[in-house]
Amino acid sequence: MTEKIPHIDGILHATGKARFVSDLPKQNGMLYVYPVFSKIPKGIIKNIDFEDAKKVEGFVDIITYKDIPGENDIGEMEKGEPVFPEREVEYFGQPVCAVVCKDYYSAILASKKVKVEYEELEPILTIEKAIEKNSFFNPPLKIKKGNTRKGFLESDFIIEGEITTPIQEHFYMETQSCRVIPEEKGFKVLPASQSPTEIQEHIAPVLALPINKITVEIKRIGGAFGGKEHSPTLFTAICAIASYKTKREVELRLLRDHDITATGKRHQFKAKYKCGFTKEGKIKALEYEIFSNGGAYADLSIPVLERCVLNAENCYFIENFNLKARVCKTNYHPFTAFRGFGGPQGTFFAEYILNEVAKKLGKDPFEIRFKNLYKKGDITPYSQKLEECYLDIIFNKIKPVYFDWKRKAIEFNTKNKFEKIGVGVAPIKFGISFTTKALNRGYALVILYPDGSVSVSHGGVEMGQEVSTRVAQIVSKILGISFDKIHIESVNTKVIANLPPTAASTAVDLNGNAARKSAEILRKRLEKIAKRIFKEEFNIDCKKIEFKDNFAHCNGGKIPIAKVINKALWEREKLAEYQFYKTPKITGFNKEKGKGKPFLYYVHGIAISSVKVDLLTGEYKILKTKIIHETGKSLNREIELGQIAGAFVQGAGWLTTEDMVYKDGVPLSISPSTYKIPTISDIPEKFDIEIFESNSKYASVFGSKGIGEPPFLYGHSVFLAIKNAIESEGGISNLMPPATPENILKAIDEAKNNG
Amino acid sequence: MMAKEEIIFFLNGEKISFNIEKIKHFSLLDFLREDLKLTGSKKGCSEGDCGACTVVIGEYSPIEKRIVYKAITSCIYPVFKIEGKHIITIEGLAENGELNQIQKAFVDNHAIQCGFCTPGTIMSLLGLLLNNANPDNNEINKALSGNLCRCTGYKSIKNACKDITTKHFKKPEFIKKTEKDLKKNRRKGGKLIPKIPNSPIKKYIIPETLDEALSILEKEKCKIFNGCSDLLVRINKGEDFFERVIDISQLKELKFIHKENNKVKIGGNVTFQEFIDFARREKLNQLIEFFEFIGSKQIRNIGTIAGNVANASPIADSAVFLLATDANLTLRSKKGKRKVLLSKFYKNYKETELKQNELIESIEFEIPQGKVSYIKTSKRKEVDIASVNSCIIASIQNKKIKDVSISFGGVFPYPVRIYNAEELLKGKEINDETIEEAAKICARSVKPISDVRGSEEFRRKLVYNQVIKHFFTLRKGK
Repeated sequence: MTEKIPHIDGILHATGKARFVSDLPKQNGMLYVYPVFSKIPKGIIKNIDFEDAKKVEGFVDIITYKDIPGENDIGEMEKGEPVFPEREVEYFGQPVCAVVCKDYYSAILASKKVKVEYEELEPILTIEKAIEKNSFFNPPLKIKKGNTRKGFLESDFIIEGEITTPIQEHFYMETQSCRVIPEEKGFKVLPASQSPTEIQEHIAPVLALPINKITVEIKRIGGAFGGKEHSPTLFTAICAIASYKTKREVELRLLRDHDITATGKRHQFKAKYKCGFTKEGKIKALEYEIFSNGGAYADLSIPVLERCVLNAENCYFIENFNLKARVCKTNYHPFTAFRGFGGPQGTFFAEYILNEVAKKLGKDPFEIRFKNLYKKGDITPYSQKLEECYLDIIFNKIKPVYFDWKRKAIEFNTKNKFEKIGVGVAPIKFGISFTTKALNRGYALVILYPDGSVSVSHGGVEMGQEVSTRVAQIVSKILGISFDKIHIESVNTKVIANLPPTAASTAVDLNGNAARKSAEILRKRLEKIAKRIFKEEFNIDCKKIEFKDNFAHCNGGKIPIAKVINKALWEREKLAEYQFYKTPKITGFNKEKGKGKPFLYYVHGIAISSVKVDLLTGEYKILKTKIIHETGKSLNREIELGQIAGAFVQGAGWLTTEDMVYKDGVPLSISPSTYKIPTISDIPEKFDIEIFESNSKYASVFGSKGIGEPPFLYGHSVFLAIKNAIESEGGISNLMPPATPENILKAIDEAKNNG
Repeated sequence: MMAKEEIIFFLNGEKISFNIEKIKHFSLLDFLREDLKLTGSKKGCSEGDCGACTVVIGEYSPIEKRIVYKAITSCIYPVFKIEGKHIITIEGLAENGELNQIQKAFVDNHAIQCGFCTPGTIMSLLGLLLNNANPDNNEINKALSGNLCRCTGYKSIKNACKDITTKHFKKPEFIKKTEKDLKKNRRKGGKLIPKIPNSPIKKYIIPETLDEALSILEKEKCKIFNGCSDLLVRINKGEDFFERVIDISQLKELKFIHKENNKVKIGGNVTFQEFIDFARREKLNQLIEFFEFIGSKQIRNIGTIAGNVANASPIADSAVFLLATDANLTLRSKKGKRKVLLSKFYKNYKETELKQNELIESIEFEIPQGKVSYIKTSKRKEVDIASVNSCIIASIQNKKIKDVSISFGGVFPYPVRIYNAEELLKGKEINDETIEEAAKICARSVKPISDVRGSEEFRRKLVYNQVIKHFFTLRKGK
């Protein structure tokens, strides 16, 4: 299925007609709610003074925890996350209460005039401090395979070290926003959220209503990347309480500064490792002790940790493996889902260590990787068997390019004193499926109309990953009805319900398969009718009917599909089909045992990058990147290329320019002027992406594979290239991401001293 | 000066006269979205740094004596500046139901994912193409660096750009048609807008003449607005409360660039982009390269050089360059004018010589005859504020330094010259030792602090290394 299919709403976007929440028409009398954010990382609320806020023109009301009619709790995986804290604030930026005003600007102004008095308490602001205070969200998660003690004995070398990965802000372009509209019974909720069901299930108890009194509807959201999986629940709850109290339509929209200050981010991780290997470079044993910074509330930290540990060996077969991992409870905003969901951190550890092994042996990192690669049939540390593996094919494809770049870099480096080029390599093997088995389910409702047009509702929220385009494409293909006649509806929890979040690169696998099933059933029904028409009107006995280009074709004759649907209607056939899909063959991950078969399949690939570093200023430029990415069968080539490019750039940003700076628990880089995501000028000058179509038998719809998250890991190649450039003269640095000019300069000094 | 009831402007080819009393929002973006219900332009950051709100403005340029087009971030553009101008938004671009070439290229090249940044990016590209139908890769990067996209990784956007530039870009008919009216309807200025809803501003004055402006400044305490690229950010966030504002951006007397021999004099209203365009006409390539590293295209289109200087940021890019040229400022008040050396203008952090009743009338500097080297070290190459920036202008004869000036930003409460390092170098032969000695002096002379853009230690190291890099570049003869 590789014909060119455009973005289903491309024209709407290009003409400015596509609407996001805050673009929806506003009813007269609509109000705006704005939270008051905590100004300290930890403390007891002594008093809240609204007097000055009340003087702001347009002021309407205040909202505190006392206005919550139901439960003051929106915890998703674990209970205990309040909408507004009743006694203690747990992080800087936590909403303490809110104000409601007639217009947006007044709401911001009034919120700033609310005075909150605190009794400050000592916060936990580092992973080390959390460990010292025994402040954790979970008992240690363990994965064990073989016997590492034996592995170390068989090793010629053992290296040990510590790796840290940085916090990353999602920086979706549309900030957290939602609208809540009171209805006859209950509320209509329009959030910018990836988790319509989570919103519905949490708003109901907050408002002390049954779930069926809350309707959540989402047309599209302006980017999410995991940042709209759990984070919107809090803000939607605040908006809902305001609407409940004022009985009016209310909008909430965060300013960028507050969005960055108050919402969850990618977890900071720290790993202590010990790796044993032979002089040939074969890894014999790997031990990890991993900690993540979970922030003040559990949020999705435990499942994020799970995916980190399921990726901590990345592409490498390791005979003896031993891992322990915990989430630290600290006084930061909660950390949450972010593209890759712990996978980027886990694989970064592995790739970092592989480079250290190569350096210790004086061998090329590419060779060391190749030597340790997984092969088909190998068993992972969590005991899933690799039924398929394309790593060696991909490695061999890219090998000549890698060594050519490497040779050119060495040539350049001998001629240049203050500028050095480094080359980095990062392969991937990324499992697709939610590691929580129950979430692997999709829904779709397909409705046929007698004019030959089609309505499709499904459980995937459109956030730029183009799940809508792809689901429409699948339905179009099966029914033979042209793409432009397929209408994808908003996700509405009264139509499609009990959904998992749109996440984990599974949206098309799950919902696309459900839509496929619906369409296939409808098609069978139409075939029967079409055969009858061919017989009655053309006297043709059809064995096989082809549905294509809005016609049913048989033996050279054709009838419009609209006509077939129309006849089906008159013959009282069912013209709608609601189908359900659950991922087969998986067991989920059993965290008590540290084992399972959590993934339906893996996505494979490799990236190499060549980066030029200025040794005097620590600045750098990505010169070239080449990616080979395995997709199974390509479903929509352009969408896949777009996802790969976007994920790579975001992944590279995480490890380089994107520096979340905090001081004593206070986020400082809270706007685009201080938090720098890549611009058009930061992408590789030469940027080559090749799609490798495999014949994977485990792949999903029409043989395709999930695409959203895996390519994020290609960004590792940029960081490793920078480190390689710094160490090009033989020194050893301890460069940790983000590779800002400041960190690079420090690393250059280290390399000089260790040369 | 009279209060006028109507504000007249052109919107997507249509002449609009809008009752001022009905304007309920201060920024052009909010005016478009809330008052006119044109929600195609998006709000991503409220500080002009993400580009989602970009629109194109067509106006008559007194410097170039023709209609020019600029992409601007409408979130930090006061709505009252639009009088007599052509505002082009995403909604107006498709003509007779047919997509414009740029829109079509974005759809065809799959350059749209979540779509939130799409309208702004298309408008930035329109701004570029209206001035230059065949831009090269660098020009495209410069025009689009102020448009953040978190989905595409920009590859498909670049493909869309390539697609358009290989075809012939045609100026849309409604834009051409409006140009005649724009020439006729040049703004008159001279107005006082009383209270601005949804803002702290109680009085907004747009004087028509310099005299008028100076009289107002003499009489009342006003905040001077020009490009507003910094001030409106603070208003949007509810942080600053300028009650009385004087917007001097319409004063024709301050809109000029004169060049005589080697001296350039630029008026207080000259934007970065106007200066870059001038430098391009005069083939001052070094200056183009440097000024194009300031802000984004949208910011360069509205921000003025005088504003950048007056804002007194310790890291002001243009100040660092101007300091090295020994630039002079002419400060003007009702009582007369006085000249102040830029190096004497800064007194302390955010404190300058500028008095309450004065404005910067012009900036005068000499085009460097020696070699110029400018370094800006920041986390990101484009649209970023430096950790440390510096400029060295040196004339070198027979390997000896005849004259040199060294200026630094980001390492002192205001941009500074390092005179003792200059003294050391003058008359010396360039070699590694002298340069290292000068670098050491520079590093010793500065007083950096630690903040979000870098630690004190890092900044000191950068000062040293930038000096080394400057001379490495200068010696290479670049």
